[in-house]
Amino acid sequence: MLKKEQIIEEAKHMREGVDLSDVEYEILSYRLYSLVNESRQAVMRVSGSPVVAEGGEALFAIYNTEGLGAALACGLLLHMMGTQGFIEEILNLQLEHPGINDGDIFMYNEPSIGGIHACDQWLGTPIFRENKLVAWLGALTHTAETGAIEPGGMPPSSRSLLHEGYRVQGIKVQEKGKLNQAALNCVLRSTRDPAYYMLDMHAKIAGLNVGKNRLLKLMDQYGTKTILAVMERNMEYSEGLARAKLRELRDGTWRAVIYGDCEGSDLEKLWRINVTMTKKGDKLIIDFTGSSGTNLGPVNCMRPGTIGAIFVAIGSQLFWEVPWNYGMWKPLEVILPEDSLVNAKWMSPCAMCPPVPGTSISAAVGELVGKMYFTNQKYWNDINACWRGGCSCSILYGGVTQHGYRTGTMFSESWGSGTGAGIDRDGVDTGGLLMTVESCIADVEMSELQNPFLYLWRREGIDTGGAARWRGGSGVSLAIMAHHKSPYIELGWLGQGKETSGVYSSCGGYPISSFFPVICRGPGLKEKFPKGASKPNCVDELTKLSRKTKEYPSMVSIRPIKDGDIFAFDGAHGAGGMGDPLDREPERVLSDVKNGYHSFEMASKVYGVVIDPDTVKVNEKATKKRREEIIAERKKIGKIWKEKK
Amino acid sequence: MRIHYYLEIDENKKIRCLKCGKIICDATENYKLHVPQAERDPGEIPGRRPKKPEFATYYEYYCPGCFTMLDVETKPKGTPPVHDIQIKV
Repeated sequence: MLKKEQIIEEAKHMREGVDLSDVEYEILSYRLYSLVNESRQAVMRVSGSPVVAEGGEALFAIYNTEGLGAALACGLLLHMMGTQGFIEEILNLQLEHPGINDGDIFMYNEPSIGGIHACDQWLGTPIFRENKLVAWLGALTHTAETGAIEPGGMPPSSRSLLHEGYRVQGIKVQEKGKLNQAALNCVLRSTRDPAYYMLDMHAKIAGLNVGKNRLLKLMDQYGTKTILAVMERNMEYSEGLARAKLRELRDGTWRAVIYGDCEGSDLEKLWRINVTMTKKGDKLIIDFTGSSGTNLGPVNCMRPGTIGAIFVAIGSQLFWEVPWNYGMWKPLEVILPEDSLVNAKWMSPCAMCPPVPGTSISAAVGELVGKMYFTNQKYWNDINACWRGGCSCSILYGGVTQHGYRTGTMFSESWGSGTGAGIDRDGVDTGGLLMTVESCIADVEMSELQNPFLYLWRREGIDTGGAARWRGGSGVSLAIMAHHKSPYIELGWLGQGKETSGVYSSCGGYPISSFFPVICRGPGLKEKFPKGASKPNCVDELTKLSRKTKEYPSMVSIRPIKDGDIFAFDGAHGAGGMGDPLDREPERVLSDVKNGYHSFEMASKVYGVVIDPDTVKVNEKATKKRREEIIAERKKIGKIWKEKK
Repeated sequence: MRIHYYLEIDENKKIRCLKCGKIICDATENYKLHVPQAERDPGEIPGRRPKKPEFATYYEYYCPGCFTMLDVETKPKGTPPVHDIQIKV
């Protein structure tokens, strides 16, 4: 067997000397991207998981021999740059023994090597031509049950990577085309939901089969050398586009500091992420020096997680027009301090990387990209305030459904987050999550059919988007109760932003609302909502009806929910706005109030727009006076920082 | 050159308000050190229900000419202003 360096060198020689015309390149590059998209669709259609089928959390990629992504299709942008470490380790550890063979499929879900957390489960298969390893295919899904200390794959009470369930380190789940049942049992006997795991496993294998079939046919038709040359040119092309775009923007440094308030279940702690982004010519340096140390709880990112979170913003906001592959990465330099929550030390828990520090990193980097865009008018339409960052609530649950089977997974509502405002538009209400922009959330009816919960309400939350000249998109508010036919249900949530908001607006808008979770219980509460009766519409209305209401921190571990208990939250998932709220036209504020995006109180207090509650019309005279009062207050309370010191 | 929704760098390399024309400081400086700033309890804004004031205070920055709000930082009390925009001039 050849050594790794020899194999890489051999592949390099194979593609050298290929004379590709621009037209040939365009056609074949398009074929490769079609291939990864089709294979990803196969994964999503076979998987029954709502996280994959509705949330779109599936990746499919073609890699070159050494594992660099040459064409990617992914729904969760976090994974764009996070999987090549798996191939690197397979080559380092398994090439000589036990060997890499045609028909092998390797599995990984080790977050320190690639992916983001243990839920991110990758299968990769080598592609051989004439007995030579020439490429790889990879498929990844978020599989929301890992046999962790709590169901649902992201345990809020985790205090070690060991608490986050099984971690597979490159075992062959398929050898030379045949499934390895003994290897599969390592996982099947470690999860609460083996059927769910196998369905996701089959979905990824289906995607790999589709992709392999297409790639081999393409190589037969056009020659292996030609296809390998197209893969390399893909990366060169993307790198060239990325560098050219950077050159169009002014050199400078932009900084953001973003805070969170919870490091794990029942562990309130103020933590900080510092981002300094420096653009020099065609290079971008993103430095996280000054960020807080590794957290005790699972609010941490391993290095691949932070890289993924950066690319959520870079891929969607800065290089959105650049074809996705490793070439996008080349103009970037990332500096991550050791033993920090953006580069957590070995064995640290990191289950919450995607929903908490990851979204905060993405929001902060995205906002800095927006500020960088101000320096070139050509890109003003691409400016975004922060999308939803660290003010969120993902609900996990486990137990036995009303249909009698065991389950453990998560709700999809956090995908219905607000999007950031631009310089001439509001953010989109419940428009999507930056890291998985194509996601949708399950219908209430579908969710109630499958899951052991009934909804009291699900709506766009009032005052959740950042109040600003251009308003940030609103997030979701909901209330659920356990299904009365479910024998046992437990529920937890991984949220953030109860104290810190987690998302700021840009250029003079207010930060978004704060997350507010409660459980209401007590005799007679459920009976207050007979069929057809009017129901509460927000947490404040609900708590007035409940004899026993308990407020909780942002993140709590799984706890039993009894028949009649109601879990509800307000205030999460909003996004940042743009500009001073006093510059928003009164008619727009009136429309916000009429449509339930803002309260009368917000209109008057922050926007200075007085709306008559009886006629629901703007009182122009009172509005003029109120806005003058706000300016007068600013003049009175505003002091120069240096003079204050 | 525009650098912010309300700010630009003028031909003399000064940061200037786009709304009222007020010159704030040199382009290399942190404009937030040169403009009126005020602290606000987040609980004053609807939809915010903080229980731990030591975790977050809103810091509002206004243009010294027209008092347009230029930025709102949310951070622990006493934390210095972030130098968020530093264009090479």
